[in-house]
Amino acid sequence: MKYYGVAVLLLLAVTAPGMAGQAGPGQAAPGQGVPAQGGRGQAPDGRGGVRGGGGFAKVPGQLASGWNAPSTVARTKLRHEWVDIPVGSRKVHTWIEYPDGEAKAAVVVVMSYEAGLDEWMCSVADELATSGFIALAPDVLTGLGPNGGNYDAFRSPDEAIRATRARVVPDQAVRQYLAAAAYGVKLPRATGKIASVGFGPGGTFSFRFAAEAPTVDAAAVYYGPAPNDATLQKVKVPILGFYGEDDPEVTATVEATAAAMKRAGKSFEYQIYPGATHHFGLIQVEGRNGPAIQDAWKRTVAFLTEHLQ
Amino acid sequence: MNKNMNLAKGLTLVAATVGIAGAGYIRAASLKAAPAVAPVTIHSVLPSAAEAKQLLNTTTRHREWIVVPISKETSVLAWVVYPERSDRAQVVMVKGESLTPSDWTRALSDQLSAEGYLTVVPDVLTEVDQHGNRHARFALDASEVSRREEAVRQAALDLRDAERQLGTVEMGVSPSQIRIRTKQEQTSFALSAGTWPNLVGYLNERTGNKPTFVENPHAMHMAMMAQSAAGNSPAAGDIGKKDPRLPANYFMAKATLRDSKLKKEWIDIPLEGESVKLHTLVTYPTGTGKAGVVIVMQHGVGLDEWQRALVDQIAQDGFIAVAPDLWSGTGPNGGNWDASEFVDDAVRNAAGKVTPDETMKRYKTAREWALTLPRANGKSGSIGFCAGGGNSFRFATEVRDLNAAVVYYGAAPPEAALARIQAPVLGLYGENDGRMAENAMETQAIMSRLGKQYEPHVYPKTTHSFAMFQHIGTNGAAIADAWPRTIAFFKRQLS
Repeated sequence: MKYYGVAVLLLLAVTAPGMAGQAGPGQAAPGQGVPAQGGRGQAPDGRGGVRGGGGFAKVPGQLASGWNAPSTVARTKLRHEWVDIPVGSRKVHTWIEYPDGEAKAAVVVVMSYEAGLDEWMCSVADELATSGFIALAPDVLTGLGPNGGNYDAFRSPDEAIRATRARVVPDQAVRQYLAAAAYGVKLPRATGKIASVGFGPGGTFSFRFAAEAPTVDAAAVYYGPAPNDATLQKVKVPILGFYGEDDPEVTATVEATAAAMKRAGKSFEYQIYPGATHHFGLIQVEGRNGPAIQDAWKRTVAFLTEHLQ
Repeated sequence: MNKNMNLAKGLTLVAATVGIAGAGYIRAASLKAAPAVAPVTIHSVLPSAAEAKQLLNTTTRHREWIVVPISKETSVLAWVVYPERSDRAQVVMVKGESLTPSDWTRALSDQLSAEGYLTVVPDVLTEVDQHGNRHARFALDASEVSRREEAVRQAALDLRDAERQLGTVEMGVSPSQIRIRTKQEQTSFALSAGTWPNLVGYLNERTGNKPTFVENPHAMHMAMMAQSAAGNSPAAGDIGKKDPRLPANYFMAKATLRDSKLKKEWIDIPLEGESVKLHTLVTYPTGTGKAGVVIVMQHGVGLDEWQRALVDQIAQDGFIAVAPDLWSGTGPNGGNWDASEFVDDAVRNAAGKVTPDETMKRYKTAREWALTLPRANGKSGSIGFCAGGGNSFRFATEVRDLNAAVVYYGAAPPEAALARIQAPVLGLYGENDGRMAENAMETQAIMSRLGKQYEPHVYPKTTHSFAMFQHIGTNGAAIADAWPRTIAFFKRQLS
């Protein structure tokens, strides 16, 4: 009987997104919702730790990793286009991808990590479109590249990272995201429902979007610190956050964020994955990042589906 | 008789030094009259729930998750902590209120190991299939729980460091109480920082636990690395700016190759008896002087930008870096790695096509070719990453006059092969990489028995490909230590 009780508790922890985060100190115990750490079959047999195809090949229904994002995006069968959306006197270069068919769909705005709107970020949009959402991925480096170019004008990822840090003005990026969102909800196929999903610094923007967008229904945050408390006070919709335990800089902020959200009476569910690092969406074969992103993405899609119906 | 004497001593300790008779130690009262003895030193504390994670992150005791088969297809996990003692240890199985270990039960097991016990915490809800995939079970009936726990108990007794004859002591722990079942009896203690020494005294007495503690060189190493990881080492920093002393990370590889001023060329080296030629990137150090040759063995996705940027770094550091495209001829239309459109295509196209023996043949061919270069000084070494790390280790077992081998997170060959190694081997591993670190420690024992030179470094909390993904977790501190070590090692062996 005792074991039955334990089993029910574990089940709750897994099926209710963020339960672990709301109920406890935000640390998921090993085995709660994510498989425990361990080997990947690297037996000492001289094979040298070659992973199965799972490590490098795209798995349907799961987010692409850095290894397979380029091929995923290049070979998508879904309709997609680049659009320059006006933002005041400027514009934001935006990747839009549509779900299969002609039916109406909710919009999800994808907010980039510090390396910019690269193939991995586009693959996130592709996966969202595959799951039935119209995905818009705005390039907040629009016009900030060499010779006034966009993300694709940078010659290498490190240049884009430096530019993100030095040249992206947060308020301007928020304006770009809001402009893209306004454009998105007016698309003929849009239902009017809209959410944001952001990674790293994009996670911070996702928080701000939940506070500042005139129309918004939900926001998901991957390993991004929250903005200040005044902004959190203005959050209008439920936020779902995912963090890695081995990402000390960001994850150290989560408890304070949860407390601030609670004080403000806002819904903030979150999960800290044991043994997962920063960038666990991009880099899925390291540490326990694989189980973390598999669980987080499944919950993200369920969360968006719930709030965007 | 002797046993009774020991029992009395243990209890005297409890009564005399802690003075908690009646605080849950149910048999203390009747034995108070025993003669006083010198107090036993306690090596542990009861961790609080809040301290558990910190303790797990900083303990220097060797600990790991072991995979315990419960059927042909399925295994479960168990957390094991090894005591730092020179003789075999009593096994203690710790079970918390949940069927899966918490940080607290794991930390508590670590503290029991500080007293000389080999502790195991079963995780019967986490199943591992034949492919290493994990699945969390949510419910199990009690008989299946017992069956799985029994499998874990047997696996723990089978560990090399376990004293099998003693069987297991079983503990059920909750935040306020601990139940202990020894061979003799079952009892329980109220659990608090105050009763902990009492509990340890009882356990030591009941099990006859008299560990001979040893200094654990592995543990000291871990502590050293933890210290270095905590400090602000150069590489831990900017993900967008390369440190010239270190190889490029994931984000910097493209720029590193673009901006490199070193002389480089692609050579197609003939392979005996094959029509395929070995497409090989050779990068030279600056100047015209002679230099050692380093054969670079590719990681799991082949000779991609990151791997080629690493080749560049080896030449920057003064060696002729020779990087064969191991997958030469496996691409579309018999092409090489670069004939595939995307990285994942290259992996798929090459899968299973280059056998381990063919791998060795290709690297040997490249080495022999490289040693004939006018700038080669006659010395040669190998370095490999992931799968290539395993290849570098095996290369050392097959090439008698190799001067050095560096293994980044790759598996070791079997003992029979290790016996043939002549060259010194440097191994660099992340702790958070499955059984990799544990394998390194096992290999160290074998190499030491064989009288071979093997220097493994295991970096705490570091993941698998820490040379590539320098910007996550503590990987930055790991590569900041590992790379200068690598270059110093090559400089010693290849000059």
